Amino acid sequence: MIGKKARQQRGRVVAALDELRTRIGLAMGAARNARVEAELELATQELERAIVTVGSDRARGDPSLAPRPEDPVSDAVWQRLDQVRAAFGQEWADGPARLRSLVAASAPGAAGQPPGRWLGRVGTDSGLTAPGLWRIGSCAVDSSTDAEEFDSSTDAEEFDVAVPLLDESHLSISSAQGTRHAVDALVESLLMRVLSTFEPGAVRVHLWDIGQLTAVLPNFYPLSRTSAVTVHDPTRLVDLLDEFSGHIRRIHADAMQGGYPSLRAMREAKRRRIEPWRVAVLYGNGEELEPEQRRDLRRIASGALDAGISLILVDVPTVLGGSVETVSLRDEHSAFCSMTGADLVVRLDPSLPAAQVSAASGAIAKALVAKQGGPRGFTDLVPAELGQERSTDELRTPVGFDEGDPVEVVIGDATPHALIGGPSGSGKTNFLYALLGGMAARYSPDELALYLLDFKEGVSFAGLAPGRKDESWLPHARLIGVNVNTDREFGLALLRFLADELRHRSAAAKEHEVTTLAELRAADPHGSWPRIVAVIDEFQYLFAGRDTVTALATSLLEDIARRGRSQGIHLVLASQDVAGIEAFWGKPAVFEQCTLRIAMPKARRVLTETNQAAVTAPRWHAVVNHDSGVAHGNRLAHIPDASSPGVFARLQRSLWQRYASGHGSPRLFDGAVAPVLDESAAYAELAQATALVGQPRALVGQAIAVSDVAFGVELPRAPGRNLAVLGAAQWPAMSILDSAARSLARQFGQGDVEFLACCLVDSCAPAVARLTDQLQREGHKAELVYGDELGERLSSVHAGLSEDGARRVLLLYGVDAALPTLERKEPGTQSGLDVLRAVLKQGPARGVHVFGWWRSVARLKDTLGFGGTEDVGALAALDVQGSDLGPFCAGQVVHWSPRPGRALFFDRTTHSSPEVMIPYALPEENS
Amino acid sequence: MTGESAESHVSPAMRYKEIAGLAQKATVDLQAWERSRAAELESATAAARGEIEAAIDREQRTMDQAHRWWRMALDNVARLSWVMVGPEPEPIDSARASQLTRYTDDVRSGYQELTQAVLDLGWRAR
Repeated sequence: MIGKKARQQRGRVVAALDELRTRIGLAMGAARNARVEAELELATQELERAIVTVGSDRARGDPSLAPRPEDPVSDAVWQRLDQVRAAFGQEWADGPARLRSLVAASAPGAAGQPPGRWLGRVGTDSGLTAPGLWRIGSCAVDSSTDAEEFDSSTDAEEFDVAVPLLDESHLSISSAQGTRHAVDALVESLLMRVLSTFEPGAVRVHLWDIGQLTAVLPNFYPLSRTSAVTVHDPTRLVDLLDEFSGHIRRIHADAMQGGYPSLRAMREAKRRRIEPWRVAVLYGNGEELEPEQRRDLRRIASGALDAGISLILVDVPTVLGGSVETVSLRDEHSAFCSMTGADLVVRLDPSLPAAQVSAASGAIAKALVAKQGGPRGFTDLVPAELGQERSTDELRTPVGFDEGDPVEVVIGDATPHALIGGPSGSGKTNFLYALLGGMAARYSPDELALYLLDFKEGVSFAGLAPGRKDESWLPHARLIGVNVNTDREFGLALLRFLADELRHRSAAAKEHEVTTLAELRAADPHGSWPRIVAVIDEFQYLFAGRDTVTALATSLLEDIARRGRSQGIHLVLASQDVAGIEAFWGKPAVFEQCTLRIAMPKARRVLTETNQAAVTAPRWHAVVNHDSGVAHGNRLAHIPDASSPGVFARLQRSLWQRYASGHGSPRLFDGAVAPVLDESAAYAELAQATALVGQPRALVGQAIAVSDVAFGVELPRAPGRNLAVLGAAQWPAMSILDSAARSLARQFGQGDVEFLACCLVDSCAPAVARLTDQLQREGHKAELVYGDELGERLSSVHAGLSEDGARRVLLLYGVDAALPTLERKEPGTQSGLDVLRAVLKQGPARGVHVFGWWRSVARLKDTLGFGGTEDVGALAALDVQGSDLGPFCAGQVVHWSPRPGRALFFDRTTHSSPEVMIPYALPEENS
Repeated sequence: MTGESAESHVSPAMRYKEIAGLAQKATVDLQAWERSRAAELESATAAARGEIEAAIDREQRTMDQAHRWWRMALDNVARLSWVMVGPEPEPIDSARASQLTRYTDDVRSGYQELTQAVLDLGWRAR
C-alpha cells in the first residue's frame, strides 16, 4: 500500500500526461485547421475569379457558377458580389422613375400617351414649340428576361423609351430579317403621334420608298390628298432632295437675315409658327444610293434640323451629319435604341390599329381642308390691323399662298430689287396688285412711298388715283403714270427723280455719318425716310429706241440698282421678256441687282436657264424666287385675285379713310389725256403772283416730269424773247399760243398788257375769237386783227416801239399765210415783212413779243431771213422733223420725229437741249 | 438659379440619355471593377496556393513534432507500471488555426510539467 503522498505524486504525473495529450491535440488541430482555411480561401477566390472573369451578369446564367445557397463558398462569393453591384447601382436606383417623369413632361399628349387617349382626335397645338421627345416603346430593367438587363436585387422597373425628332434629331431605323412590318408600325405610330399633336397643316410628311410606288404606309392615304402627306416617285429621289435643299437655303437665308440661327429660334422670337415642320421618311431597302444622292442627303441632313426638316431613314446605308438617333430592330417586338444604350432592350409599342389610323388620317385631312378653306383670297393677304409694320430693315408681305400657307416677298438688303416676267395675260398686273396691296396694308405711307408707272396701253394703275367713280386714292402712291407707252421721257423723269432722291438720302446719311437707311432712320428719327418702291410695268418700253433716252435711262437704272439698296430705294421691274432689251446687252448689273425674281407661268429668262419652274407653273400662280432665279430659291405661290373690280378698291378705301387726311393725292400722269391749263399747278401759282415778282412767263405746255411742272417762256425786256410754234398740226399749235396768252394775261393787271391777235387760218378763227373775248372779259386789251390789216398794224406797232414802252404781245396764227402779202413792197417804203423782222428784232427789248405759228420750218426761215434765227429764242416744234430744227436749237443735232399730242420745246436761254412737252388741252375741248 | 438656367438649355433628349446613361454607367463601372477584381484575384489565388502549401508543410511538421513529444512523454512514463498511457493525441477541431504557435509552446511547457512530475515521484511512489 502506498501512502497519501505517493498517491498525490502519481496523480500529478497522470494529469500532466493527460494535459500534454490535450495540448498536442490542440496543436495538431490548429495546424490542420490552418490548412483547411487556406484551402477554403483558395476555393473562394477561384470561384470569384471565375465569376468576375465571365462577368457576374453572365455567370448568373451559368450552372457551374450560378449561386448555390447550400454551398457556403458560393453563398459567400455571391453575397459579396451583390453588395458590390448594389453600391455601383446606387445612382441609377431612381433612374426609371426619373425617365418616366421626364417623358411625361417632354412628350405630352399624343407625343407620349397611349393611343387610346389621342388617336382619332385632331391636334390643337399651334406649333410654337415641338415636344422634345416622342414615345416609341418601353424598357424594363429586369434580370429575369435576359442577361443584358441590370439589377437583380429589385423587381423589374419599366420606363418609357422616347426619341427626339422635330427640330432636334433625325432617326435612322435599321430592320432585321422579316421585321418590315414592325418598322412600318414604328414609323406609322411615330408619324401619327406627330400629326395628331399639332393643328392640321403644321407638319408635312414626305414619303419615299425605293421599292414602292404608292403603297407606302397605306393608312395615311386620306392625308395624301392634302399637303400633309406627299408620296414621292421612287425613281425621283433627286426631286425631293432638290426641294429640301431649296427649302433649307431659303429658311437659312430668311432666318439669318433676321439674325436667328434657326427656324426654331425665329419661331420662338416671333411667337408664331412660320413654316410647317417637314418629316421625310426614306425607305432605302439597304440599297446603296448613288454617290451624288448620298452627298446631297448628307448635306441636307446637316442643315435640315435648323430648317425644321427631320429625316427618318429606314435601311438607308449612309451616315448622316447632324444629330441622329438610331433604332435597330432585333425582332418583331424589340429593338436597341441609341437613347437607352446598347445594353437595354426596348420593347416596341404595339402597332396602331389600321382602321383607326386610317380614320384618324381622314379626320385630320378633313380638318386641314376645312382650315385651308379652299383657295385663298386677296383679303387673306391683308393683316387684321393695317399699317402696323415698320420698314426700317425691309419690306415684307405675303403675296400668295402655297397649300394655304402664305408665301412672302421680301424687299430689303438681300433682295433690293425685283424683276417680274411673264407673257401678256399671265397675271403680272394681278401680281403687282397683290404685292402693292400686301405692302400698303402693312406699312403706313410714312413707311412706304410708291411710284407706279405703266408703259402698257391701258390704265392698270389708274384706279389708285382719285377718279370720277371713286374719290379715294392709295395714300402710299406719290406718283401714278399710266398710258406712258409713247412718253419714254416720263420713265426717264422717274429715274431722274429717284437718282435725285438717292443723292438726297446719301447726303443726309453722310451728314449723320451713317451708311444705310436703317441707320439713317435711327440717327434722324424725326425725318421722313420711307422706303421707296418704284414699280415700272413693261419697263422694256423705256429702252425701246437707240437714242439719248435709252442711254440716259440705262445709266440711271444701273446707278439706282447699284446704290438704291442701302438708301431704301427699290425697283420693281416688270416685263414680258427681259432678254430682248438690247440696251442691257453686256450690262448685266441691273439684272444682277434684281435678286428677287418673280416668274409668272410660261415666263422666259426671268429665272436661270436651268430653272424650269415657270414652265410648269399653273395659271394664277407665280414662282417667287429670292435667289436670283436659281432653282433652290423657288417657291410656287397661288396669287389670289387682286385686280378684279372692287377687290383692291375695298382695301384702298379703308387705307384712304385712314391716311388721306395726312397724305395728299398722288400725282397722276396719264399720257392719253391732255393736261388742262386751268388745273395745272404752274397756272395756279401764277394767280398768286398778283404783284409781279421776277419776269412774266408764258406757259406753253406741261413738262414730262415726276412733279406737275410746266414749260414756260420767260419774257424779260431782252432781245430774242419771241416764241415760234412750228408745224402744221392745228390744235397743238393753237393750244400753245392759247396757253401762252392766257397764262401771261394772268400775270398782268388790267390794262397792263395788250394782246393783238391775227388769225390767217380760217378754221382757227373761232378759237382765236374766243381767246380774245376771254382776254377782254378778264379786263385786258385784246384785239382781233384781220389778215389784210396785219401789215398796217405791224407798222403801227413798230412805230410805237420807241414811244410808250407798253407790253404788247402779238399772237400770229399761220404767219406763213401772210407772207405773200407782207413781202409786197412799195418803192421807198419798208415791206410788211421788213417791219415784221424789225418787230421780231427790236420788239422784245421794248416789251413787244411775237408768239407766232409757222406751219413749216422753211416759212419761218423765210420770215426771219438770213441770220435772224436768234430773234426766235423759244421754239415749240410739232409735226416737223428734228433734222430741220438744228439752226433754231443752237446748232444741235435734234432727235425728234412728230408725235401726236406732243411738242418739242427749246428755249435757248434755259435749255441745254430740246425737251418733249405736252400742250394743254384747248378750252373748248374741256367743255 | 444658375443651375436652373443651365438646365433649361439641356434638351429633354440629352437629359433622357444622361439618366439612361446611369444604368449604362453602373453596368460599365461594375464591369470595370470585375475586370480589375479578376486581375487582383489572379495574384491573390497564387498567394493562396502558396499559403496552402505552407499550411500543409506546417501541419506535417506539427504532426511529426506532436508524435515526437508524445513518444518522449511515453518514454518518461514507460518504467512506471502504474501509468495507464491511454489513447494517442488526436487533432482537436475547435483548435484555432491562428493560435498554433501558442499551442506549440503550450506542448513544450506541458512536457516539462510531465517530466517534473515524474522527477518529483518518491521511491514509494515509483
